[in-house]
Amino acid sequence: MDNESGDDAVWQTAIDWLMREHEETLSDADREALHAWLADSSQHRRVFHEAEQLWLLTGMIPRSDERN
Amino acid sequence: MGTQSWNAELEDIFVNQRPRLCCVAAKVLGNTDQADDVVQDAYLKISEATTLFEVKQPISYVSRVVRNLAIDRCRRSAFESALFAKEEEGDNTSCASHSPEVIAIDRQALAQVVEALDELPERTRRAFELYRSGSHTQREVAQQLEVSTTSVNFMIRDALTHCRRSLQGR
Repeated sequence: MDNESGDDAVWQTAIDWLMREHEETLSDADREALHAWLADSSQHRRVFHEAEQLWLLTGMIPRSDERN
Repeated sequence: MGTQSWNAELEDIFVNQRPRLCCVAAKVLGNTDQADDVVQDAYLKISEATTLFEVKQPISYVSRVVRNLAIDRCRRSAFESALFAKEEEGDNTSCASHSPEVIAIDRQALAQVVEALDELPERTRRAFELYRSGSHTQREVAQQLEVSTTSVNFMIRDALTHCRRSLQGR
């Protein structure tokens, strides 16, 4: 499965990190691993930023049972 | 509810529940320095976002957004410290004292994400909602929906990827 920008694997990794962070406080070792991954390439940083932005937007949306 | 009364209700929450909201933020941030700032940021973002939808249980919604924004800020300040001060081994247990840039809500993008989530199959949307807004873990969502944790994991990925594509296709 690939998208137009051909970065699906990077996208999945970015989501992975956000999900892990959502469920638990990352350990120092995890945080270092994430930083290393981000330092690896500008594509990683760009896609992670995109995922972060989307994650933030989804957090602004009330659940359907909270909406009128 | 009209825009007027919603704005009044929102203001009322942010004035009267401020100490409680600051507490929610401070708990995540590990300090009280930025809590007020996060609460203010939440107020601005929510005022902007809620022109798109009406909220039935504003207090739980507002608290959740404050918590989300605190988590987001924590992460970003941790990254910035890591990227800009790699040689310095700082204190990782609480957030750095500087304020990362506050990102404005893109209302059009938000509207698109609302739409994209509504396009998902019912169970996928429910799983994503429980996860993202219900603060449940994947395991808990799986138990609630009586599916495997693996399928919950896939549903969350599907939901986010669908939103991404929808935003990319703008």
